Amino acid sequence: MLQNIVIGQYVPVESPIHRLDARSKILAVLLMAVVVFLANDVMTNAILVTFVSLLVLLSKVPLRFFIKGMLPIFILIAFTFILHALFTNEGEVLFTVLGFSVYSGGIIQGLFIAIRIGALVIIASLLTLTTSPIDLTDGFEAYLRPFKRFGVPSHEIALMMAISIRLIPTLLLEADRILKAQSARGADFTKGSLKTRLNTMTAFIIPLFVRSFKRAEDMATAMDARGYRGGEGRTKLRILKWQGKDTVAIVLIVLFGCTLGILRYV
Amino acid sequence: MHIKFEDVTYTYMLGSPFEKRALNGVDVSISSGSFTAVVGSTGSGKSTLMQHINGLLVPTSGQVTVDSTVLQPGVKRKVIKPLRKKVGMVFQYPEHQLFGSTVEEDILFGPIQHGMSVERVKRRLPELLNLVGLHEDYLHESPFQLSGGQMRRVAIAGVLATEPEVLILDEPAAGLDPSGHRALLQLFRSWHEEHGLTTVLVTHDMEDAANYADDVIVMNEGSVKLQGKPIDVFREVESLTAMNLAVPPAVRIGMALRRSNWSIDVTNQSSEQLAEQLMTNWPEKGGH
Repeated sequence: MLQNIVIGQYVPVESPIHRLDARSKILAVLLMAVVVFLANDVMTNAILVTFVSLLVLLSKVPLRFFIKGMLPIFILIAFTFILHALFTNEGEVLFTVLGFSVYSGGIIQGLFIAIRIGALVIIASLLTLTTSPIDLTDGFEAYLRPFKRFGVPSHEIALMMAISIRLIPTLLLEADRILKAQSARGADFTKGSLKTRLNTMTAFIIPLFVRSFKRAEDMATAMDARGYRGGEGRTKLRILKWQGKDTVAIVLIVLFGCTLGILRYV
Repeated sequence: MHIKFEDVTYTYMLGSPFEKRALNGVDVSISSGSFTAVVGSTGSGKSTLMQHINGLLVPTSGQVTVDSTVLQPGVKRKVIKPLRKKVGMVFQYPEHQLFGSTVEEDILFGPIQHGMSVERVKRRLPELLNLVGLHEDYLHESPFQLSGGQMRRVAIAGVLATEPEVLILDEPAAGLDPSGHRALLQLFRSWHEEHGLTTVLVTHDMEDAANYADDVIVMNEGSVKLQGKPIDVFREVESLTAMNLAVPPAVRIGMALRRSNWSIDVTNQSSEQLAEQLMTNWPEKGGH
């Protein structure tokens, strides 16, 4: 029943993007978030679309995963497109709908915005699709570490993230089992009045909570038993390694940003 | 109720990179009124197979027939719903499904969902509770204050309360001590006989299959490898070993003794039966 949920969206295939260090990928996403806004005419937008498409192809992630990730955002994109199409009064009038005059400039403006949002979403999902949750956490921890002197508990935050991510599949498995057990007893989670459905939901939620608390308790005990005492003096099993290709990736992104910038302002 | 699997294939996470085929063209029949044990090592597909009987899983291809209900790919919900009433299912660690504020509320959940007469079920509750080995005083206590073993009994009572015609038990005794284990399986066996049920016991414990089942189905890597009377299945020592399954000790010892000319009847498989035979045979022990 819950079997079709893909955890963290990570797709384990071999690709140049998968092999990059998590830190360089996080940095690249941040850079791209800025670069995307440099595209403002047909030329730069075309370059942006080409660049993002190349990245998608390079990641070797099946296209339908991107489409799946885009679906919820699609409504937002469509909405902004319509707003721009209706309210931008530039260029010539193409046609009139419900008393609004749609200008050619509006259509183009809407299209540009749609491309921007789309590119951002694709870039961001590229990060989670090609980076395992563990690597992602390690990457975030690395970026948080300098803030430790200002009292940011970077290790603890990373540990909390790692535990949460680690427990998602367990929780889903548990949820699936409880859902099945109650369905086998006749529970129907899709039918009935609001009241009966709420009642049926308790049969699902309460066991799930009870089990989660129990598991949290067990985990705390297990950590205590192994002498866990926070991040002080702790070494890592998985060490992030910044390699030449990571530098190349970042340089490429920066060059791409410069190109767009030059095309825009010069 | 007769249960029939015809060329059933099931794939988890179909259409994703995580695709995993759990059943591979399973053809098997479970006859009405039998107590059948489905054995197999971890990941052999036995639990997946069982979840097809009440439509928790629907075959990716092939079909499952339970009595007159046919489950095929794309089967409608309204076909499955009445089937859930007829098929009771005790999952592994059934105590994890408890949620009611009282034991009574929890047990009544199933009967209410199936639209049974609550009054009638309520009247039978003390009897049902006694049957699973709990005092009726527990009816108005919170299930979460009971011990693990007691919680499991409550959960089992909750399944039996819906008066199923087919009972599916997925490792019901996992994690219990030996006496609790025996008591629970004996409870299911006698419930099976009294109510003329069709019972399917999923287990990796061959001893349980030997002691309680009339029929044994052996699964490995998503298909049925052996099926038959327990003793016929246990004779296939080599193929069982190859599937990481142990022949029950009583059978193994019985066969070994027979090879050294003891007159042991190996058609008896339980430890008790073997012990009895040993006792009667002891003075006239045959030598080499």
